[in-house]
Amino acid sequence: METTLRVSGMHCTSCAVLIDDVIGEIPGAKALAIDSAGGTVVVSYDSEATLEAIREAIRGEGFTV
Amino acid sequence: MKGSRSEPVPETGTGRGSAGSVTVSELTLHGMHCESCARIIERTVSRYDGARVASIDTADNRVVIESRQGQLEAIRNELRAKGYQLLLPDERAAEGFEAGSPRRGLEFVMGVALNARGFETEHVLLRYAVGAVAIVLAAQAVLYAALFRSTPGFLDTYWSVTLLTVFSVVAFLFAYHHSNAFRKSSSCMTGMMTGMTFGMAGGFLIGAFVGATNGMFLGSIVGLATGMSLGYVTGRSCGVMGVMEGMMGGLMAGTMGAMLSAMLIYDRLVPFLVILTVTEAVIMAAYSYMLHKEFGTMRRSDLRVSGPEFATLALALDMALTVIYVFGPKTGYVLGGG
Repeated sequence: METTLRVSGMHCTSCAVLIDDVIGEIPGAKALAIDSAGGTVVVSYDSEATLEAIREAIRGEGFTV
Repeated sequence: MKGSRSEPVPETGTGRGSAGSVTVSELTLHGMHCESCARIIERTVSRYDGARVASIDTADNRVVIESRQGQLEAIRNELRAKGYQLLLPDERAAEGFEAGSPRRGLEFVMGVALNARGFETEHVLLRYAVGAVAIVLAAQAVLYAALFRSTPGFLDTYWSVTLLTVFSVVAFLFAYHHSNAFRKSSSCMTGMMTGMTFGMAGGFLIGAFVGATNGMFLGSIVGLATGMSLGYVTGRSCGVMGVMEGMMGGLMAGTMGAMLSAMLIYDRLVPFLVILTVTEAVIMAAYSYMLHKEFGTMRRSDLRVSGPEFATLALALDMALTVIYVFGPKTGYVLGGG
């Protein structure tokens, strides 16, 4: 499945790298595209991962989803 | 954790081969800009078994890492791949060496030209400068077409000094506004250096230009006036000391520039003026690089000039100099015969 999340709080490329990093740690989830200026994150995930787990991981780093 | 500021705590595990003992190292880490960078570094380090970031200071480029033997090198390599430069205790000399390397200078120039992160303000100034060159060159073209086209030998006499003046004025304005943005964080030593660099470089160049078109007398007067004014304006960030230093530099270099032209007029003056201008442009660029390196990234709000202001000042200075070149009294041997 593929979803576009609206994430606010991203300021720079490092924020995008960080989000890419935390999503990559969730089994079955992957960040396809992150636009730090536009505030969007496109994620793909299979049955192993849930969208809520992805949101939770991003929130855990201080961003708002 | 009792790591001193300057010395890393020695590795306790060395020689004993006990992989379990934890070493605390206080290290320098370059390339951090924000909280996200700090988080990336923390996450990277904590993936190593038993290693963690004890504290991190993005503004000061300091990080305290607890790690086991042999892990620091791997951490350093992984961070480098992510764009951060962690300096291990024995790598300090390498950093000092690298600080003056041409590669760093090239990175600065490319960063400014390509609007890289950390160089946004310099890039804005560069855009102003390119715009100002275009506007002043256009104004010079209009002026020539309207007033001087019928004057015989006008282009032969003035093309070199006119073109060099356009680029010099804009380059100086770039360097001046750049240094001005750092003024509140500038130290007195930097203030004195600013006054001297601008006073000497500006006075020398303008003295040489006017010396070439109007002779040594007017060249000396305009050169010393330009040099001393520039030294005064730029040295003010260091009070009277900077002003005096700047004005003395301007006085000396302004008269020397005119002398140079008066003597070289019998030789290849125009090629040398080109060499002089390029050399000074390199010095100004190096000065901007030094400020950036010493005081870090400046904010957009520190830049107290707008594009139209930049262009207007460039135009006014360039026109004033053109009037002096063309209509100022000429004595002795000058470009175009005297």
